[in-house]
Amino acid sequence: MNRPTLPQSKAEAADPVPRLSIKQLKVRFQAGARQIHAVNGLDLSLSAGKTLALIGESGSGKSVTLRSILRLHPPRSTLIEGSIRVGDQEVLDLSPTELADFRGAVASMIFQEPLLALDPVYSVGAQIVESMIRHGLCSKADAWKRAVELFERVRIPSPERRVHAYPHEMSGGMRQRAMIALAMSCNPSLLLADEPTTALDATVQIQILLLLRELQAAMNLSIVFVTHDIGAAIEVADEIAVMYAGRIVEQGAAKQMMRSPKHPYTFALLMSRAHGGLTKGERLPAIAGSPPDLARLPQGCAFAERCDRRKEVCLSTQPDIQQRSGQAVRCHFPIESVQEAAKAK
Amino acid sequence: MSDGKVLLQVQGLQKHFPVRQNSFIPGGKRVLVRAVDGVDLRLYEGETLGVVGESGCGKSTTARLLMHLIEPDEGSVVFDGKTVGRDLSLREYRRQVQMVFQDSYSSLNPRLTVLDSIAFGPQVHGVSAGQAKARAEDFMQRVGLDPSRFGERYPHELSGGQRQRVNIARALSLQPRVIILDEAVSALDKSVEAQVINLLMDLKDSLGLTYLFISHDLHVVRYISDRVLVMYLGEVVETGPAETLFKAPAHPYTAALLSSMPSMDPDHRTEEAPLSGDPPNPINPPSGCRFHTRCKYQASMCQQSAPSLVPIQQQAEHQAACFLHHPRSRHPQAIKP
Repeated sequence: MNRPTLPQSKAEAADPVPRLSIKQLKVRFQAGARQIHAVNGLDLSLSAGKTLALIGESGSGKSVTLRSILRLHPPRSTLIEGSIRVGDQEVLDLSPTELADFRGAVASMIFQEPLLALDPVYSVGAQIVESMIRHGLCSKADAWKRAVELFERVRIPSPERRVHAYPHEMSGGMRQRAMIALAMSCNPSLLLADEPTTALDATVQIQILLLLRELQAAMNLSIVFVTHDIGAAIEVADEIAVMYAGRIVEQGAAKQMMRSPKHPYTFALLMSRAHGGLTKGERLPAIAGSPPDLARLPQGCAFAERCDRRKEVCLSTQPDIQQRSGQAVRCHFPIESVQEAAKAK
Repeated sequence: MSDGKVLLQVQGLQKHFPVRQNSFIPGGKRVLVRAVDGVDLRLYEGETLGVVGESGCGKSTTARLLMHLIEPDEGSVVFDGKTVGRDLSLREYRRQVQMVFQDSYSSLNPRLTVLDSIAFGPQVHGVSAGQAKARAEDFMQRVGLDPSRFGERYPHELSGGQRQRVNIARALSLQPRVIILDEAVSALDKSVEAQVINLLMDLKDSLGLTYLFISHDLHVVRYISDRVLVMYLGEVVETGPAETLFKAPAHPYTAALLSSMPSMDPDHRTEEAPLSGDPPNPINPPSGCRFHTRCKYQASMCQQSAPSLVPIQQQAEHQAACFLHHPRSRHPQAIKP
């Protein structure tokens, strides 16, 4: 792994240490002769007890970023540059043993499909116990007791019986709860959630989102929540970062961003949703075209081709991050007033 | 809408799948999955009927039964006044009723180019190869794909949105009157989903189509549908005009389903889940009203007998199956006669 060390500025050092800090992250995959530029210079920081939602379409690099934090990408075909710090550890410098200690105990992850993420041949309880023993937290007998407590915590009915159940014996919502119990088993300070509610029904999704909110408040967890569903993001997030073609194009407090999106992509994404306020027969303001090929990224702004505010400079130069009333936006011509932009549509 | 002509109708549609309780033990106890249990459905010419419900409620099975991809146990499909299989051959029926599936990739033949896939159906129905190709090109244009650029490509060379456009073009190529869309936009990204929804609306207007639109996304269903059918564990619990049903849901399940949608307002986040737990297993559905195990209005009678669909506020179009709306049901909270 080729990883240049980055100079630390003094101003940043004065801040309290954020729980997660990502600097200039670049992730590339070698796919035959092609190189896929999945993440292209990403900066992110998250304080203790906060939730950040990373939203974007498929191929925007949101899951790749998340998986980089646990270094889950195959090392042989992946090039990672930059810095990922969780607490005081530099994740990209960890040795294999340190990495194994780190995963689960400091940062853990829940996935979209618990049936694939959980081991089908062990009961869920056995998997929880195994991870607690691996991290040397307690004896086997205590671990089983704690597994039952965890099941209670995530509100699985009759936990004493259910810890002995295999993943296939559970319903979708219960499996997701069981995976959350497993992820919480070693008291991590950072929870990484990769589309945890996408495969669930709306009635179950809201239960899981509320559970995550409750756990976070009780345990002072930091959560990075990856989703393509803005609705789910609003339910859990303090802060939202919108990704497009491997870069964060806009980031800010959830409340403010919903009210006044500054990046044309965020704005278009919010506008193109079917919602209750639409009248029948009215056309959805869709975004034309499709996201760019990550093997052949354009020279300028990656969204320029689909953007109705584009000017010549957008096609030639990559815009820098600008601060606009507390929101960070990567655009040459950010939206000043939402009303005005809506009229222009 | 109900004064229009009924194009597709089915009554008492039923499908039970026999399964073994434990698939590892040969000869184990056989049980029935009651996937669809007595569904009445009417599709009027020119309308869009939305079907919503949680996973396992039987909405996709209903679609497959309507297409005769699986044979119903009970209930026959009547299309345009003719009973399918008796007065109308399956072949002719399927020319008139086409389907678009959720997974755009697995529903296309990976070995056929886009153009060949679209031209295949018309050729089966006796159109010459040359004409079928010309027709395929025409429909590719209509769904917004340039035939000279995309015609010779294979499914894996397209994006999800483009593939779903191919599936729509393929369904259209037989010039059907009804299209069944089974979660057809669910797998697409939001920005692409909006494009495909707009396309579906345009095609409906220009070709005079009738849609059966199945989705779990209530926002999309509300936007696209004229009428909506809500299913729970194989049964219809509520049906009515989309606007009425979304503004004033009559069945407690519909109300819970609607309030489970994310609020989209950071200042008013959801504080309590409207329903607890997952939907029960359709193998042994609860007795009486199938929703009683999760319903906050449940009374003892709900466990014993199943309510039938009754009109809400004397409107024949809006119906719900709940004792709250049966004036003489003796449910403590029922409306007064």
